[in-house]
Amino acid sequence: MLKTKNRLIKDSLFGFLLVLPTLILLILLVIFPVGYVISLSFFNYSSGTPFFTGFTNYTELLFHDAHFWLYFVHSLEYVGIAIGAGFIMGLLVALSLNAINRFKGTLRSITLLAWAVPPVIASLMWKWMLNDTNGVINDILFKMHIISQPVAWLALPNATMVVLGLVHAWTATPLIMVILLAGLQAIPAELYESAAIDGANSLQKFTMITYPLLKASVLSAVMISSIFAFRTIDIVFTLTKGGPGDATEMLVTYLYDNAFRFMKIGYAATLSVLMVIISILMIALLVNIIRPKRNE
Amino acid sequence: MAIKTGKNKISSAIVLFIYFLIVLFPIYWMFITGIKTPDEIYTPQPTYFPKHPTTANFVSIFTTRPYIRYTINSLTIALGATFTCIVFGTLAAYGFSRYRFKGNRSLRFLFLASRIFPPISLIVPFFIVIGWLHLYNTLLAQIIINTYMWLPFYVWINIGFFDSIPHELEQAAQIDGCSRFQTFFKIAFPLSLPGIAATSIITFLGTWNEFLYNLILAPTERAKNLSVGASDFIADMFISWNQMGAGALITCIPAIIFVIFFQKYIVQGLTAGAVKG
Repeated sequence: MLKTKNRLIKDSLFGFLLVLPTLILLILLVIFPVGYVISLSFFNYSSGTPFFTGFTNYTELLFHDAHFWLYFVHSLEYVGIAIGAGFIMGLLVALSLNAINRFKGTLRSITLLAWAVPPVIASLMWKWMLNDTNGVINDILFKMHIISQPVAWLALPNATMVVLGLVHAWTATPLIMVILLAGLQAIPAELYESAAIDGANSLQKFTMITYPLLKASVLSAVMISSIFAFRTIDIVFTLTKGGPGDATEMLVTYLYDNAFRFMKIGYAATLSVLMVIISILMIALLVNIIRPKRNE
Repeated sequence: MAIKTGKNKISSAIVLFIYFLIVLFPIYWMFITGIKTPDEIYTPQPTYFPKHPTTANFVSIFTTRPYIRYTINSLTIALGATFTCIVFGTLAAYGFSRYRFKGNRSLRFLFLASRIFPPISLIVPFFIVIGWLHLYNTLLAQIIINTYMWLPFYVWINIGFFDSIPHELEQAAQIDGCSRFQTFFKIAFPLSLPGIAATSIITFLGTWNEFLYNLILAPTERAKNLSVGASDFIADMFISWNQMGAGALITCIPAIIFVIFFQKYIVQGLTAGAVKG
């Protein structure tokens, strides 16, 4: 008896020792920087020696800095457009892939390509294709008689955000698709068979079987891809750098500018903390909206 | 019913055809841009098939720009971070999956929660700390930061993979007198290789594609990677699109190889993460 107890203690010690190196590494790499950024957010740290200012940065950002709220809205627009388009595309592709049984591996490989291509490369490519003088997009649309004049896609004050969102959707669709496809394949085929016997049409099958059973996957897909979209800087940085004017300036680019262009380190740290809080709120909100109701 | 499934298949095929055009056209365009001559690039009428395909752009980026160095850097960073994740993360995932100890569950979630922070929100402290440590503009700093970004993901997904391997084999090995470490190396580790492969590929690609930290912490060719190297073209006054196409293609090589040969593993790794949250 004593021996087994001893063994159990040794077991749990061994388990903890396996985890310990990673724990130490993550404490050094996460806890310390997070603590540091939080403390910096209470300092005025731009030029000269930093000095403690309490919540000044926070009140400044939240109540006096009109940019903050505008760029916050821009960030939400970006996430909304990107994930809206990416989700519709991802769902259509997942449903289609689920319906076709041939060439499964090849078809999936092609859909995954857009995920694996580095986001920077994807945005460089789109920047070149959207170019107003030599770009291929204008040429295609011109040949299809959709436009009669070359369009400067990345300099439209009102529509460039849509272009950015769609480029992000290009990179985000595969992950959404893969998650939804996994969810679709977990739905037992028998349900559809018995629904068919009962005379259900395709739409009824989708609303009565596919959608309710897919809810968990939808939650994962939307949540993960929204969080990624909110923090993505590669695409806006490469395509517009926030322009034209500040039409595509978002929290990520504002943070970058404060830290590395305006050299307002303390202010940037405050923005960082606020971005983390917004991320956490986004997760909580999404979990609540889409979570399958337990009591149903 | 037969007609209905037929109709379903046709509409599915149409959706896939359109989507594949959207996915493949930019990649095709990058490819032909990379093998076009400058004259063919700067015409208002783009050509859809290059008239005079050339390898000159590839030669020139490797001779006039430090692309050899960037490639070595990208490889070193990606391999270094992936290797660190394998060494630390596999042990941790195994520990979490197989052994009960105080704080097992809360530590798991602490690991996962560390990914809540958007990378940009930690750039200020990392920038300062890396400066203190005199690691600014080094490959080591890049490896450390990429490890931070991917280790929690690696551990979390591999806990799931270890959970799905039956315990009986390990118990039998222990009864036969294997120590705990031997059991891990001889039984559990080989069995979990598919999961390790899946997560390692995703970690490698994620690290290879990393942009922000490399942009800020590696300003010169000493530690700059291919992603940032390729974006340098648009910082130039005159953008040489054909050279950029060539550079972009080289940056995409691992993506294309992994997706073609290891598609199954990637899907496994991605969905394991999504299903578990």
